[in-house]
Amino acid sequence: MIRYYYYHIFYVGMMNIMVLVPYVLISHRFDGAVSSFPLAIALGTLYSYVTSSVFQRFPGLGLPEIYKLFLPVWLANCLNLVGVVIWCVAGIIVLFSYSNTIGIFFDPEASAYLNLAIMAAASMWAASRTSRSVQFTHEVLLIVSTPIILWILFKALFSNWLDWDAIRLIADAGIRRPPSMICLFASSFVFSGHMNITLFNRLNPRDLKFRLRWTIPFVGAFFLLVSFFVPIGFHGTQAVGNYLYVWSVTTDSLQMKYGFIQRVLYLFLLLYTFLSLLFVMNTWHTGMEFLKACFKKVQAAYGRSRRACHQLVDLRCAGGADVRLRLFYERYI
Amino acid sequence: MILKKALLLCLILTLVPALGGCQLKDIDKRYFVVSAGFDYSDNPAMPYRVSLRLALPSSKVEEGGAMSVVQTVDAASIAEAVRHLKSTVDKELEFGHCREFILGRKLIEKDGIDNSMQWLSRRRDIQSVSNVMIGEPDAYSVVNLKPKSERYPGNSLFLSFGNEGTEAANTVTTYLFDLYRRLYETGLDPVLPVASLFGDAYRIDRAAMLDKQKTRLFLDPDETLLFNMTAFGVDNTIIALPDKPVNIVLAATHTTSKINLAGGEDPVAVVNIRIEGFLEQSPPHLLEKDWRGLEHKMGKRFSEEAEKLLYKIRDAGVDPYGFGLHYLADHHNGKGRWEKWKRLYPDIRFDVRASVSIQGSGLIR
Repeated sequence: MIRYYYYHIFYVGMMNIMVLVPYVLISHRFDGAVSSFPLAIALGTLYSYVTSSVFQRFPGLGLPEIYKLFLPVWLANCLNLVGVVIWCVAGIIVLFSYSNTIGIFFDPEASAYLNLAIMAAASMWAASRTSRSVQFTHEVLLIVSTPIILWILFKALFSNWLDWDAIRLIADAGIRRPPSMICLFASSFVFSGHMNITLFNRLNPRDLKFRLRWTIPFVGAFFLLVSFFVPIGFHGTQAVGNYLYVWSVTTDSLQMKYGFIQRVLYLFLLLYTFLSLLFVMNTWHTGMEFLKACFKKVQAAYGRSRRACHQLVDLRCAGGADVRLRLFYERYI
Repeated sequence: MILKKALLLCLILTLVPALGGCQLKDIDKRYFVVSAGFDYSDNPAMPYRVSLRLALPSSKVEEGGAMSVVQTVDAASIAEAVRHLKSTVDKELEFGHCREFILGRKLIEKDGIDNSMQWLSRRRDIQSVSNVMIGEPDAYSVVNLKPKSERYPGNSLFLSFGNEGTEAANTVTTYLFDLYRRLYETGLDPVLPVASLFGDAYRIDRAAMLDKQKTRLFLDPDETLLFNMTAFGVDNTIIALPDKPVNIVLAATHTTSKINLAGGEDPVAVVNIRIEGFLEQSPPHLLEKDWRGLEHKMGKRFSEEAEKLLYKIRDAGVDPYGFGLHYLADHHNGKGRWEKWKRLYPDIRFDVRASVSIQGSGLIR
């Protein structure tokens, strides 16, 4: 089950390439982008550790349930609504920017709203399924697209046309500048995959231990550095700032000479269609579940009577390993 | 139940607008541009002469069966010329398959490459891996040539580049994204292959060195070969050592090269190059007598030739190897470093360290 947690971390790392993060970082490449990377890696790792440790104390409960347990109903509902706004907006930003990219490279003659509408309809349908099937869809699509995306990234990384002098120049000059706030926030996006635990913790079994968390900084740092430095290596320190669709042009600079289609761009965009829809599905599903939680009493979610709740607590804290948690549950439910 | 059905009906109705499809034009209503040439037209009001070679698709695929037409129009800019050209043909122009862009020599002398590059980099349908070259005497004659060996219209020209078709050692391959990078980069200058006509074929064995705008230096075929080996580490080349009665020739199968700057504040530009290969032309028993000596002699000869070329390029005031970028990277792009490099570069010394390793003498001793 732990793999579902890492799927989220992994796919947000890959999404990082297609969302606006590389564009923001590259436009600040001479002032403070590089020096905020170590900070972002440290902060992001810390944040992932803390969040997952905290949720490990509440096996089977999502954030809305935890709110309900500890806060008055009106405050819990307000916080839930804040969650709805944040999650849905995240999906909308990605949906909008990706349908824009599709409109430019795939289908310039079609109306932009048609692309947007089709993608939104698909995402909405996928998001309105149960949490479990969202999780399974996520797994299937990720298994299909990850190997090919990694192949494209490594192809770029080992290409002869990658100019290591340009990368060295930016890395070396940038690390000497003071870090900037914008770049810190932009680059810590790559570590935000663990946030999905706020909802999907509901599906975690009670004996789940978050093992292998030491891999998070490596995965995050890899995708962060690749998404920033590979375009610089391909387009040089100056010209890279002129491109609006940095990664689309970078993958267009690769070629598969003996592939079915020579332009890597189209394969890349197709895979990122998967990932974008996946992202929107996850965020909207989370938003939807947060909204639904506003209309549900926590008791209702776990059975009507107080006694049933106690049974539930007994079940969740089986063995009495964590006495404090048990006390919490008993006091508040 | 009724609500569900109503919802389903609504959903189906919203999908109706999508039935129009992607509003794409069908393939039989498109003209595929296979190569494009930009020239200077001597008319100040309409300086750009754009020639497009349009493929005429046919069901037969055979040598010499490639059919195409060439359309030319003059206009005040490339974009306007292409728009205007559309009114002279009956189908929509499609640039997605065009991988050859030829800039006339005169256009670069009069106008530079910047304006053409702006159009090329802005278009979404033009591939970043297109080949860009200089056409001599003009782009039109290169676009207009229809070689007999072509199976598909336009494929003869693009097979000349890279290592897809011929692996010609004197052909410099410059992709669009690489040219765009070099156009803006500090300390790295553009280089373009020069294509001209040779009977019924293309001849692409020279290179032009440019500063950010104009051509500064044309290399002859031998120099282009040396440049290709030292700058790009191109494989399948040759090194000749003058000898009597006939030259000793090494067919280099594998080359790696790397630039470096040695010696701190007063640097020497070093090119480390490793060449491996077989002897293709040699008197009998020569290699057995003095294997190391021959390798050493070849390396020395190569270094001398390459250094001569490097000094020539330096004196033309261009830096296609990227020594400047390397210098800036070494000194973490510090303040005033670029100005310092511009003072240093005109007097810089070069050191080509070639290590030739002969793998064998072919099939005979």
